[in-house]
Amino acid sequence: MRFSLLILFFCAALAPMPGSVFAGDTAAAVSPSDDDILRGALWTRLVLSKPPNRPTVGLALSGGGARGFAHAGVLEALEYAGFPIDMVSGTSMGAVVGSLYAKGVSVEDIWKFGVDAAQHEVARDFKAVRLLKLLRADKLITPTYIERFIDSHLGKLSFEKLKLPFACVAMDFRTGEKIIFTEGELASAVRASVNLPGIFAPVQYRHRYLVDGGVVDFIPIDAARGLGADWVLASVTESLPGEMPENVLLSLLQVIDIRGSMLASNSEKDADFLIKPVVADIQVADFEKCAQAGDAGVVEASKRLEKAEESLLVSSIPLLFTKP
Amino acid sequence: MRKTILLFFLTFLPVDGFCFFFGRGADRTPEMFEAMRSDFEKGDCASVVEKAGSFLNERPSSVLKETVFQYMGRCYEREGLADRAISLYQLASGLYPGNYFFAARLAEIYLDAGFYENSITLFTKIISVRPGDLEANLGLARAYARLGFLSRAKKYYSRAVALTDFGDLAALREYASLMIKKRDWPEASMLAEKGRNAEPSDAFWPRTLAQVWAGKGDYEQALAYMNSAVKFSPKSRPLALERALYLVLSGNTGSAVIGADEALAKSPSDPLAALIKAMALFKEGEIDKARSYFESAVRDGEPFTAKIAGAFLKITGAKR
Repeated sequence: MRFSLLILFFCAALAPMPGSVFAGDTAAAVSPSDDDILRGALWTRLVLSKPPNRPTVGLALSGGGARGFAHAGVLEALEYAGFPIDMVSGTSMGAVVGSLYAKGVSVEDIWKFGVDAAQHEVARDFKAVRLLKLLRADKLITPTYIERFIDSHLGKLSFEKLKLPFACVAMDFRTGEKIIFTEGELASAVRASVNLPGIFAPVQYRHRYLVDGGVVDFIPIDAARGLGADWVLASVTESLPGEMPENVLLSLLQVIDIRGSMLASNSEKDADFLIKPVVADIQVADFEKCAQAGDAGVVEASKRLEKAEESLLVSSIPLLFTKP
Repeated sequence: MRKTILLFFLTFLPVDGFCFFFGRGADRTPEMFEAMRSDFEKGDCASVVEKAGSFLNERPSSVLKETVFQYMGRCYEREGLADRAISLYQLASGLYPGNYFFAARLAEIYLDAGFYENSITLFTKIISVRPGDLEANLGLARAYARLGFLSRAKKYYSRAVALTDFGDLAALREYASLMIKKRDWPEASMLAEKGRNAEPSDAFWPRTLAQVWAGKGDYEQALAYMNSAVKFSPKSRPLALERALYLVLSGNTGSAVIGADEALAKSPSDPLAALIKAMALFKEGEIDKARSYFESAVRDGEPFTAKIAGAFLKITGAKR
């Protein structure tokens, strides 16, 4: 009896699994799972769909200084997948990357800005600041290189002229109010969003004194919803300060960073999907490491992409199946 | 007198001592090497590893030692001793920097173990010296692909398939699948045509072309290729259901139901077939009929299949 059972079991093991591999193929073919087949087919359909046949998708990009360049890597991975992005919001470095993307600058070119960051001398604005210099000058400094970079790439553009709706966040230095920019002159708004309080002079704009939005809204998910996003994917660069800062500016940056992370942990839950590139070993002012941050963005986003697609697809039922 | 004493002493000196003073005796290493080579070629790795210790103690020539290191490394790999293979290859890479076998094997082990960054460093080094190294180009492409750097992976896959004049069909499949993932339709299409010419009755290639056309939004063409894929693999459940899905998405719900029913006749609780039928019925406005199939997919489906069915169930519940 036991022998018969053994023979039966052996035969069953040898029998082809129903529908396992493309039976009849000469070469071995990878057998896709049901989930793979379904995700692939539905995703292809979703990528080709426009609202209202799918939810409107917002991308919220956090602050994080040089680490924020990981957003470029996230954008690269999303682009490979054809991930629809209908609107963008950004804080601080997220505002810089987001505004370029909303302007229609290709992801490849955004990468180039990061790789060339050292040549743009953006880091100089950060690393050159010494306490003595600040005290001697008795006034806040102007980030010459950052201003130059923003002016040369965003120039005289307005929000209204961008290819995608865009919002960026700054804080009114006098009142502590969170200011969300969605219209008007773009360069000033982005410049305000990336403007470190206490070191760089506040940006005077529309009767306000504006500084970095990371202090009040590290991940601008609300701003993306304000633009009309039904579903928001947030790219967040986490902070894990381990080293003692070298100078007064970097100390301040670290404080802002820690504060940003605390805000982020509260607001993350409001996103429909989160991607958190692993960039904790990059300091806020390590602009020489932008490419490394970008790589980290690609790697993390690629790992999470299938889940992001699934989340958006589930949210797209039944819109995807209704007539346009 | 002193000379006589010395001669006398040397006559009775043990062999090891003699070698210590006057160098080696008869060189046994070529013979030992031949034995190891024979064992290696026979696949007797246990014997290779066992003989290696005494062989190396004989201080063999650098050339023989280099080859034996290769045998040992491959044997460690075959026996699943990756840590020993890594140590050996690291040592050998240092001793023989011009021999890229060691770096290449090390890179492959890192790739298999998921240490992609390490493998990228090594493959890049090999390619900088030997740009036409097929395995290194493929290895680098795979490492980049697994990390998500699809454009960089494309560069090296492209070079690898060109090196074999599109003759390595396994590499061609990998590359075509990557181009589908990257949504690079022209490249995927070109590769699928090459593959179809080489393997005209293999379902993989028309399925790839179907994915290309679906990606472009042309479900009519996609279905034509999918029909052809199903024809080559008529027993394949995944292909039949993928075709049925395309039918639903193209609005051909009647045919989709027929396709799903065929799968359900073979396996009444087939969750993907149930979901496809339910989606087709939902599209036709047959909400009540669709519900039981959605429920079946929620109950028996893989996680994402169940989630999609669940999302539909919520809607159908609300519409009731």
